Amino acid sequence: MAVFLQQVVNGLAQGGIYALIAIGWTTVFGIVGVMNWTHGEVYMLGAYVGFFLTTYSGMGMVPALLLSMGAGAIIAVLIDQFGYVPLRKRGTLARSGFITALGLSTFLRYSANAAFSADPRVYPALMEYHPITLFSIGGTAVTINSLHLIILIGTFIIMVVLQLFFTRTIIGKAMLAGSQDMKTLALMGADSEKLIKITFAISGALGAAAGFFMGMLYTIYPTMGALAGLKGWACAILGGIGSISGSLVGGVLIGIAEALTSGFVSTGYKDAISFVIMILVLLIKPTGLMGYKFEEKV
Amino acid sequence: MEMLKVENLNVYYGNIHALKDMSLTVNEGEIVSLIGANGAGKSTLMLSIMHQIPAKTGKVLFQGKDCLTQKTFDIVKEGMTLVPEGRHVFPRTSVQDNLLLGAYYRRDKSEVKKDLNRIYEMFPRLQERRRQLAGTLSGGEQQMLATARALMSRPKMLLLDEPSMGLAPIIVDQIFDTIVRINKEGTTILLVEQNANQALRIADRGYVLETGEKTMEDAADKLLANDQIREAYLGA
Repeated sequence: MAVFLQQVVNGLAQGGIYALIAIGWTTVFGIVGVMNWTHGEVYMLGAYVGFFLTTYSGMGMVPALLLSMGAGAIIAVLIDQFGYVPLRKRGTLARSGFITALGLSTFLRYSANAAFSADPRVYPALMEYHPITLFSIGGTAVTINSLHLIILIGTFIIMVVLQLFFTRTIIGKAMLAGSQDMKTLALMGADSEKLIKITFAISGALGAAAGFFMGMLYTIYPTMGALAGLKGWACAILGGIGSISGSLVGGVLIGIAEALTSGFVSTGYKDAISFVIMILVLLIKPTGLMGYKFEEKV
Repeated sequence: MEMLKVENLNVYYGNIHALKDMSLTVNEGEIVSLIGANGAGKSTLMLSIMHQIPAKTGKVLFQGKDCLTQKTFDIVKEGMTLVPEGRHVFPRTSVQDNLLLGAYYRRDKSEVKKDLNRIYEMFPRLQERRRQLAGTLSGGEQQMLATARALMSRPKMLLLDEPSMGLAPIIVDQIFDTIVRINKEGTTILLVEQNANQALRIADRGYVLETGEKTMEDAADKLLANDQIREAYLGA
């Protein structure tokens, strides 16, 4: 039992990171209607910005995290401006957005490979690293690593801020309304292009935060966004596409599922489990745990 | 004074000529009703006035300003908005947030609050249900909400597309009473309806549309008395 719970705890931080990625996916998909495959690359670039800031300017964790998030927001907005705006103007985003996104994603991934080299990089130690005992069962202690705890707290704070933004501000409410019916929102005097830019900025900031946390946990490399992006999508599907709380739940569940898989089955299957779950969800309950039926976007 | 003027508007869906040389005017303070069968182009006209679909040729002037060169949200800021066909409330948003979104572009927060209270006085049902998700409301309540939400933008001119569609007769009466009341409080109204009888009864003037063309225009009471109209649209 203690071993099982230990694996669950081990999966939490990773799950929080997946949740951050998944929310970025799902907000953009909900509001803009495009599967933004560049999201994994924004995550990767966020991780690199964090790496350079902490390594070469010796910046501390919090300011470096915030700056990485800012950089992620700018990168995502630029991706929209150069990648998707021309398609929206021509009304072909729904048809060709997917391919443009794949192309941009590959371009960014291998540009990063060329610019930063393929060598994995390691963040400097940003904090003390030790296990903290949570509770014990039958004499066996279940512990959480202090680094995991900080990542969980950081993820939690970001989620709370995001939740307040969506429920308390008129722009946040408009984004949620826009994901339901953007055309009608225009009849309220809302500029959809402005809302879309804000959406990309938020998505980029979340992706970069995820990349930064990942850098604190593991090594970073230019192709890290490929798998993480896909996994984020799997989490979003599990939670229900378009649902923010669903993405949170999906991310944490998949993080835990991975930890359990590597603990009890084999680490070799760790990366496969999220996609097994994704495929099962699509077969059994395509709307996910907390999702709703999606209307076709214009 | 002319508030809205549509001149020789032509709209196409692909090869289909949906609106043919459509012209109409709505004067300040009026209720003008557009009647016609399904597919006559009534909704197309409403959507192209708001520039939600593009027109090929022609003009739409609101208070003398060209709407076809503006984006929908700018037209709303000028003081004209549409309650679309099928209501289109935001189903997964609360009733109150739907109303607040109606005032999205307004920066006069204290006035918005006053307007919200005024709306709740006018529609006590919406106040009772303000915390509910709009998707859980009945059809009649959703129509009230969509109309109230449009009023939150303080329109000088309100376009209503089929507000009575699919509603029980008693609710339909309420909806028409509300429209008259909104008009009396100073909002000019262009109304599209299949319920021609009631639409013409509350209107000052009316237009009849058939397959994308205007076939008749007159004072509403004259249209109500017209034999052809009575036969085709009033079931008499």
